[in-house]
Amino acid sequence: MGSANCQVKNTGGQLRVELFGKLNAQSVRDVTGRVTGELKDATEIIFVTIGVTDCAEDARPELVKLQQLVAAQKKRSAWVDDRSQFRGIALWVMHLANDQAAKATATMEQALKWLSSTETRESFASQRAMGTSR
Amino acid sequence: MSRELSFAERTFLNIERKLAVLARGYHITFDEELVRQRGIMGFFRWAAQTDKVTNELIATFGETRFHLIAGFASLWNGCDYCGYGHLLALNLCIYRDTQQLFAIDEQEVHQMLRLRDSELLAFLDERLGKSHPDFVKLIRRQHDLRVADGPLQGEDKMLVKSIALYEWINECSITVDAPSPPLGPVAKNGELRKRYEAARAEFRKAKAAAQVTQQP
Repeated sequence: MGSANCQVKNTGGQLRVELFGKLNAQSVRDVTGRVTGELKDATEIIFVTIGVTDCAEDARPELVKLQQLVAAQKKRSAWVDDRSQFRGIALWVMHLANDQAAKATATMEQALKWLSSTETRESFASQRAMGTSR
Repeated sequence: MSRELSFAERTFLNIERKLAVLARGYHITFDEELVRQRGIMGFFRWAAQTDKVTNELIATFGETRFHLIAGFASLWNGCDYCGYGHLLALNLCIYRDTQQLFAIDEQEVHQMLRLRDSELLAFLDERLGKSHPDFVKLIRRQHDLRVADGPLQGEDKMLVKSIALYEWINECSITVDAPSPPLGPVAKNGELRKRYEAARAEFRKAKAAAQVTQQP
């Protein structure tokens, strides 16, 4: 199923949400509406933002609400984009949503690896930095 | 989404910022988020642990190359605050040691953030390929280690550490925006900062004038 700013597909419990074009508050609220309906049947979520061309300031708090919805249902998630700017927005979103089971990644392979792990974002980074795990 | 700081936490931050400027020549503005997330004692633990890893990286790479890898580790995460601050510190180190301006201005951070990773690597080849091929090699390796697992050799283990350290630091620094101060000991050299800023301003002016002349 698709709409102007997103395509949502559930494959074996993995919900893939592809976002496109210019994101604003209303378009993200529309995405949230779509995701809400699919979330209960999903075990994990991948948000792909590679097709997003712009993310308005007013879209960002709405993305936090979307991430909070994911966190409230204890679903693991990954955001995929090969641009630093959008990985930064994703990190900001998951930080403010207080969701440590989410991670911003550059590739789909990294996203799948993250989803298959049980790590939390900050403890994973701090342990590797201090040399207690790779 | 985020709690207000208590009176004790606000007082602590006021004092900590003054002491940081005296000791390091700058204070970080995401200290507020660090205290919000971890409390005052947690802030001290975070500072001690991240300083320890930072010192290990400086011991391995040296001050200048440390700022290069710290800046790009932050850029890969989309953090303009740390990207800008380490790129500025890198510029200052290079200007101090060579009296030359580095080929990448810290103000180009936002332009670099908008690029796709492959475009950013091509941009580095173009800008630094002739003057600093060793820098390009280091950042390409850091990028490769960030996106894929593989056997580690040479400095790889410490590059992996740099990636992890900035994933940890950027968790809170992502809440603040550039511009940032030079994020290193070089921030204390006020005279160098003045000379660099004057030289960089002159360069930007000449570049802007050349662009106007080139327009039809």
